[in-house]
Amino acid sequence: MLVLSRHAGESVVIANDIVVTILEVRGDVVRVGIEAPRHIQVHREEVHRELQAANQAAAASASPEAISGLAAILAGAEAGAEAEAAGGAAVLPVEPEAGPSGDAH
Amino acid sequence: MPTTTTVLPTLHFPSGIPGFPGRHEFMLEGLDPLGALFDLHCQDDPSIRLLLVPPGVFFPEYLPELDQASIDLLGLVDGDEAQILVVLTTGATAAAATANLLAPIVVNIRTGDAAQVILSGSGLPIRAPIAC
Repeated sequence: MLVLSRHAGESVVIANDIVVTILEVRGDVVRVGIEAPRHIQVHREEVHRELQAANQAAAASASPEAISGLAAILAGAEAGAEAEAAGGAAVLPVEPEAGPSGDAH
Repeated sequence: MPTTTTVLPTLHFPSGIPGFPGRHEFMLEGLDPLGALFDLHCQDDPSIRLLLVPPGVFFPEYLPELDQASIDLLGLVDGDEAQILVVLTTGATAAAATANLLAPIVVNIRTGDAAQVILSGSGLPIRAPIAC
């Protein structure tokens, strides 16, 4: 790991377009400002780690049994709430499966 | 004839999906005739597969507020362009499934760009039981 010493107000530049600035140091808390291109998502490490684990668990759970079970639950939920569903969540535009799909553009 | 399976164009995740490094292109496939259950999968790796639902079916009160960075990332110019889907994790049974309300998948249905957005500071659960 690269270790650098910085004062409050000083920055570190990563790969030309990411700037990490130490804003304030108070006791054992450091406030850090990060400027990065929009496709670079910045998160606290513990949140990101938890999301990684949650996504991998979700992928591992996506079995054919899970799909048929969920489809049955959803069919029941839809039947029960059909009248209210009119103004509910938007539905993605869906095109029927038509063999090998061509280029979108 | 239409079948119960429908296929949407490839979705592009410019920031990827946490847990699946290096993957940016995913296919979103409808799994049921109601349009309520979707399969987001990576064509190159069948082990990468997420089950998604529009949150309204289970969580009608759920109205996530996107931050400006996410709106910019996805190029959203109109709220109607954003389709929100939440990731399901099934337990021992499908009824024991949980939904990730903290980090929904947001799709720009005009461009096909998508991202898993962490709703920082929302206090929303990453494992919300779908059971009523």
